[in-house]
Formats: sequence, C-alpha cells, structure tokens
Amino acid sequence: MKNMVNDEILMMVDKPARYIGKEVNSIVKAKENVDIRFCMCFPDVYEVGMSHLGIQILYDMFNRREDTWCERVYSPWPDMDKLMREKQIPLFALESQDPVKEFDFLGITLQYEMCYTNILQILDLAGIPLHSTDRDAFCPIIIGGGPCAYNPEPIADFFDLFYIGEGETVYNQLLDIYKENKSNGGSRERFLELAAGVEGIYVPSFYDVNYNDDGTISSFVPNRNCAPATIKKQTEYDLDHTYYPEKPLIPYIRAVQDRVVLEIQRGCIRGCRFCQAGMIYRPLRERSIDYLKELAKKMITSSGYDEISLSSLSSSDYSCLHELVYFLIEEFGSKGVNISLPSLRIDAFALDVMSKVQDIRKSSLTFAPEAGTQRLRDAINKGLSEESILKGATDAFMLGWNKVKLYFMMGLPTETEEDVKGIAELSDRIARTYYDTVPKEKRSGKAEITTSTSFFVPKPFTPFQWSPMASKEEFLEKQNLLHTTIKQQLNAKSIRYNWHDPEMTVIEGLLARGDRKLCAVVEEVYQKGKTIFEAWSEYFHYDNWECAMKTCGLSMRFYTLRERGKDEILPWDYIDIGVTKKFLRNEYEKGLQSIVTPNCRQACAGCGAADLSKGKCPARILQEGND
Amino acid sequence: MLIRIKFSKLGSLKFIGHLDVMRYFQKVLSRSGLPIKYTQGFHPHQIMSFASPLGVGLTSDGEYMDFELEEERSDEEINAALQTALTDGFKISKVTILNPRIMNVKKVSAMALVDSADYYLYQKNTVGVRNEETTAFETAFSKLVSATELVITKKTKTSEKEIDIKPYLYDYAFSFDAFLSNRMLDAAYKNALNCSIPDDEGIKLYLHLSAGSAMNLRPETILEEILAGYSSQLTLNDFGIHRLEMYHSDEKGARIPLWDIR
Repeated sequence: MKNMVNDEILMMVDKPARYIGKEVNSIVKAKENVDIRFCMCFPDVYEVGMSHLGIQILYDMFNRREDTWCERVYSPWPDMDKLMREKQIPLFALESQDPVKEFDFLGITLQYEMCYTNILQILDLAGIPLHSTDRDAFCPIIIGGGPCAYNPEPIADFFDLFYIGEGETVYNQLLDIYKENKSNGGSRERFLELAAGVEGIYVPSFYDVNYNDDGTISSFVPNRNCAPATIKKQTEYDLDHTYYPEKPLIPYIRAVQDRVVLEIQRGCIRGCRFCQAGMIYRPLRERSIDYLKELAKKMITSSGYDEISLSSLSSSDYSCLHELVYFLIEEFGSKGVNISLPSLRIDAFALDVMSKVQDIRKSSLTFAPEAGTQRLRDAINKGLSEESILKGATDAFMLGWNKVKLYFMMGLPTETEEDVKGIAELSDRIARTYYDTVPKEKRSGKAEITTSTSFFVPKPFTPFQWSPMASKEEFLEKQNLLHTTIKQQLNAKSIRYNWHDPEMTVIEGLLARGDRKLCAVVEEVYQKGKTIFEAWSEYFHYDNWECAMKTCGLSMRFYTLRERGKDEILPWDYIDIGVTKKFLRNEYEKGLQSIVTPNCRQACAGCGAADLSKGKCPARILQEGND
Repeated sequence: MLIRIKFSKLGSLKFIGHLDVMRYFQKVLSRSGLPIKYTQGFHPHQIMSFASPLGVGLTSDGEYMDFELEEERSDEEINAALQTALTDGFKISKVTILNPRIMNVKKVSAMALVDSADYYLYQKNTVGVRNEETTAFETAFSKLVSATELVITKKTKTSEKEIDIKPYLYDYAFSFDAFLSNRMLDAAYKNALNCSIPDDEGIKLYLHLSAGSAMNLRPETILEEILAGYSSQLTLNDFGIHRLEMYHSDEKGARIPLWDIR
C-alpha cells in the first residue's frame, strides 16, 4: 500500500508514524470485494484517538461483516494539516491510504465539546462540504455518535445522521438499509429517510427548530412523516454476547492509553447529580466475570501489552471486583504484566490490592470528594462521607502511604464560600491525620496532599441541566479564595494546590447546552484562521469564541450563566434516554435542598432507565459480599 | 540463555523511531510465548538491548537485538515463535544463540560490539536510465575519496568541531558485486548479505563506514558532501538509505558480522 503522503513530507512532520497505518491487528481488505467502506474518525490527534475504546469496538464490529471494510482517520496535527493544504493532499484513511471522500460513511465520535472545530477540519481536508444540505451523492454519509451526541445541536448542521447511544445495537441494520438502497439505485435523500426509521438514528435536517423572542426554543418538530418525534437511545443489554476487540489495534507510537483496557460494566448506580455519563449509560449492566477473565487472557496474548486496566464509571461497585482483581494479579503479575487499578473506593480490599501491584512509596491514594463540605456533597449526591475518607486515609497511612490526591469541583449549584474553604480544611484534616497516625520514626517524609479543582459544567440529561454555570470571574474568585485558605492551614506545607484556567471551561459550558444557532459560531471560529485542536491549551483562544459569538449576534451569558426554566424546551428534549425529565427535575429540586437520594442497590428511585419489558432492572442484582 | 536476532525494517516502517521499535519488540517477545527473562522489582521489564539505533527514514536488513530466555530453546523454535508474533515490514533473518563463556571477545553486548556497518544509498524515483547525473555523482564521490583528507564540521549543542572523516570511510563501490569483491569478506558472509531494496537504475553507492559508540559516521553526512561537491539539484530527500549489516572488528582487524559472533 503506497502512502498518500510522500516520504519527503513525512520526514518534515512530527511523528510521521501517525499517518502510515500498518499497525499490529489493523485490517486490510480488498476494496473491490466489499460493498460498504466505512471510515471511523476520532477528531483529535492519533495518539489520543488510538486510546479510545469505542472506535476499537466499532472497528471490530464493522470488519466482521464480510461486505464492509472499516478503516480509520484522525486529525492531522497542525504541521501536517498545513502541508496537506499547501500541497492539496486530501485527507486519507490509514489502512488503504485512500481519500476519505471516496467512502460510503464517515463516522465521527464526539467525546468532548472542544473537538468540534476539528470536525470541520476533517470535513474540510477531506473535501466534503461542511453543511449536510450542500452534500451530493458523491459524498460519504457523515454520522456522529458518542456522549456529545446526546446534545448534538451545536453541530447538527454538519452531520447527516447521529447515532444516539451504544453502537452495538443497530449499526448492522443501518448498513443493511444502506446497501439495499444503493443497489436499488436509491438516492442519498432516500437513504436518510429510511435511516430515520431506525430506532436511535437522528436526522437533524428532518427537524425544524423555532425560537421565542427571548431566545428559548418555542418548538422542535419533525418536518416529514418518516421522522419520529422522539429518538430512543440505544442500549446493549447483553454485554457478554456482543462485540469486543479481542485483538486490539496496537499503535507503533505511544498512545495516551498504552495498555489493554477491559470494560467491566456500563452505567452507574450512584446518581451523582453533576454526572452525565452516570445518567446516559443507565441502567447499570455488568459483564460476567468468566467472560472478562477469558477476554483478559485473549487480549494480553494477542497484543503483548505489559499492562491491563479496568474501565467503568465506578469500579468499586462491580459485584465480582475482588475475584476479578485477584485473578488478574495471580494470572498476569508473574508474567511481567502490570495491573493498572482504576480509582477505587479506599477500603481494606483496595489497600491490599494496591500494595500488591504498586510501589507504596511512589503511588498515591485517590479520593474524589468533589465538594469540600458534607452539605454540598449531599446536594450533589456524592455519597462519600468525611468519615470514610479519613478512615481510608488512616488505614493507608499506617500501611506506608504518604501521598494523597484529592479531586474537587468548584462552581457547583448552592456552593457558598464555606464550601470552597471546606476544600482547604478537608485537605488539611487529611494531612493532620497523617501526622497524628504515623509516629515520627516511621514516616517516610512529609504527607504529600495534592488538591486539584476543576470547574463544574452543567450537562444535558443531568439533574443540574437547569442550573446556571458560574462565570469566569466567579471561577477566578473561588480559586483565589481557596488558594488563600490553603495557605492559612496548619499543614499548608503538606498541601499542593493544582488549579486551571477557567476560559476553556466557559466554552465547554457554551457548547454543552447549546442549541442549533451555535453551528454558525463553531463554523465562524473554525473559518477564522482554520482554528483547530481547541482541546489543547496551546491552541485554544478564548477570544476567537467571544468574537464569533458577537459576529453571530449571540450572547454567551444566555447559554452559560442562565438558569433554565422548569418548563423550558431544552435543545435535547427530543432524545429519550430512559431516565425521565421528571426524575431529573425532582433530583434537581432535592439537590437545591441538599437532600440525598440513595443509590440503586439501596433503593430504586424510579429513574425510568430500565426497560422493564426485559425483566428486572439489571442494576438491582445482589452484590458479592458486604457493601 | 542469551539470544541475538538479526532483523530487517522495511517500507513505511522506516518512519518508526528507535524507541518505538524497542516497544514494538517488547510486545513481539510477549506475544511469542517464549519464556522471556525479566528484571526484578515492582516494574519488571524484559532484558533486551539493541546494537545501534537506526535513524528515522532509514530502512535496514542488518539490525540486531539481544534478549534473554529463562529456559533453553533451539534456534528453530525461537525463530518459529517469533515469526508468529511479527508483523509485515519486520523480518527476522538470523537467530544466534550466544554463549558468553566461550565467546572469544571481551565485550558481549551487541552495542559494545559494533565497529562498522554497510550502507546502500540509492536514488529514489528514477526513470530507470543511467544518465549524466549518475556520472556527475560518481565523479564527485571519486574526487572526495581520492583526496588526502575529507574535513567536515561537526556541530554539537555547544560548539563546532572540524573532523577528518576520511579514515572512517573504509570501503565503497557503485555496484553490489563490486562492493562484495572489493572487500576481504568470508564467502559465507557475502552469501548472508542480502538487500531487500530492488536494484533499479539511477545513482547507487555502497559504503562501509565506521559505526558504534567510538565513531559513528552517518551515511547522510557523506551524501551531503557529495551533493555539495558538484552543486547537485538533488537533495537528501531524493535518496533512500538502507543499512545492510553491522560488523565487529576482531584483534586482527577482520570484520565479522554480528550474527557470527558466538
């Protein structure tokens, strides 16, 4: 396979191996022998994209079809992007090195809002019109999926279709429809109409949005019969009998995630009110331990990776976690394979396991209280008490740990100065516990507490989706207050505070709950200087967004600072994720009063996620031992 | 058990840097199912080392890697196990089992053994006809080589130094046959030298240069001097560079390819 980009250009760019393909376990088929060519895209640089599990699952799934060849493309880094434009080299897929424009489908995964301008880079470099309305029969079908597809409105103009939910369920149906339509000589438009009939598929051009004078949505309705009023998100109920890459793609250059990733379950029982993933992936579904053990063996054998990690939203809740982790340690520990543990609830089990796989002196304990006071933790429904944190810390300190990482958010709804100061005070109490617990002679140095804060962004489909976001100025004020308060603590010297620039957060907040009007803003930001890699701080420019909002006559405050009305039509209301809007609103109101909702295993809160026609909600299974 | 393998790195894989090649082979060894020996401690890693890093952009039929096994295996078994784990673009051409105790060299590690290497420089994308450019190139090179010295400026991070590299340019030829017959090489060694690059017309130059930690003379350096010598329109980008073999010089000065040092 000859490279699309010649040697001379490859020698001029950073990490040329990003563009040559030929990775271990990559699939090459004869293009004459397939009916459908699918190109999967992660709109960020190769090393980030190659770490994403979702593409690996879909790549495996599509390539199992004999009539389909799935390849990959990632955002060319700015140095290559520039050369491609200069030399008019079209964007190409890695396996065949063929232009992306020649494919039947271009699937783009939407993992975070800051990659939106990279989507336009991909389309632009591929020679595909940015607006779906401008595309003809010679263009691929542009389809988007992933977490941001749960509010795709700010990029709706650029996509022909969105797939809402988990990819394992209806892609085959969609591809069959495509193939049949193509062989019948059906048009692109006809395919979109047929696609609209597939559950979980959203065709944005088949819906009209109208606005009130105040900017809120007055109506969101289908403009043709084939488009359903509501789109039902897709859920794969049988995670033991579905697709999973037993032979993962292995990049030559070091990806961010350089290990075997075992997704042990989907969904979460905790119901933290700020968390979108916890809601959109409900109900909780586990993979069986026997399946995971087999999968782990196959993946390590086929890849040769020297590290394996567990992936899920709350691994401590996996019912067979103890058995699984001890199995991995026993099976792989002696073979030079490292077990990378996810953030575990710090209890006796976690400490035992951590001491077996990590060097205590070098590793740290991680807690994510998210809020500095119990009052605020109750408001956000983060069920982590100070007592359990201090107990976990004490036990760990006695075993030799002295490093602790703490994660918090600032700008949460109902937050007061007390809550911000509480972060400093909690950090200090943990440091104090170290000095009170471990006698001087036994200490291996000072306690090292690293406190990190990020900023709260209200996300669609969470109880806090109605909440105002704090402003940039408020974020900075809170950071300063915290910084000062930490300095005043008794053990200030043992606490390090990591803080961030709030500007990127503001834009994330803008796009997360944005409506269709923002498409023009995203395009404006991109077109002005071909702005890309906004997720990277060295390429992010807040001013571009402020300017673009002005040019488009829109107000940043309207999207970020405004509290949404109880009965307001939200841009994503047409999606049914199972969890009801009523439940979310109820949770919001409880949150404003700091009332806790127990987790799914303690009591069912009737969120609406479970398809009860399939039996009992899978989140209600019994646990392995005691909680 | 200490093993040395000779491998090729071909095609697009020339864009993969040395560190990534190391990481690739770590996985190959793990996938092979062979009983690889690991270091002790919290982060055990495989005991493996490479003879000499190959720069990005170069292909090779003469790369070497050493690793250790916990248990004994025959060289056929080792070769078979590795082949199942290798992917396109990397090929193993020789598997040598080393026995440090009876090896008659003081140094054992491949890296310490490397003294010189063979390179093949060739013009890419040629029309397929020998022309004036070829003649000019060969004339310029002959002129360089017939001079008493060849001084270049070596730039380090802090300073610039002038070095005469002529003593480190050991052998050369414009064709493969001439290259083999010019040198004092064992017949077996000649037979083992193979080049995966097809032999097209156009400019060709074979070089045997000093390599390794003492003095590593890069073929790009020679190429730059030649092209400057006749003010050529061609640049480094017009050439491919392929490493053919690595040698150790014994006490008598005989060149032994690394695969034959047991």
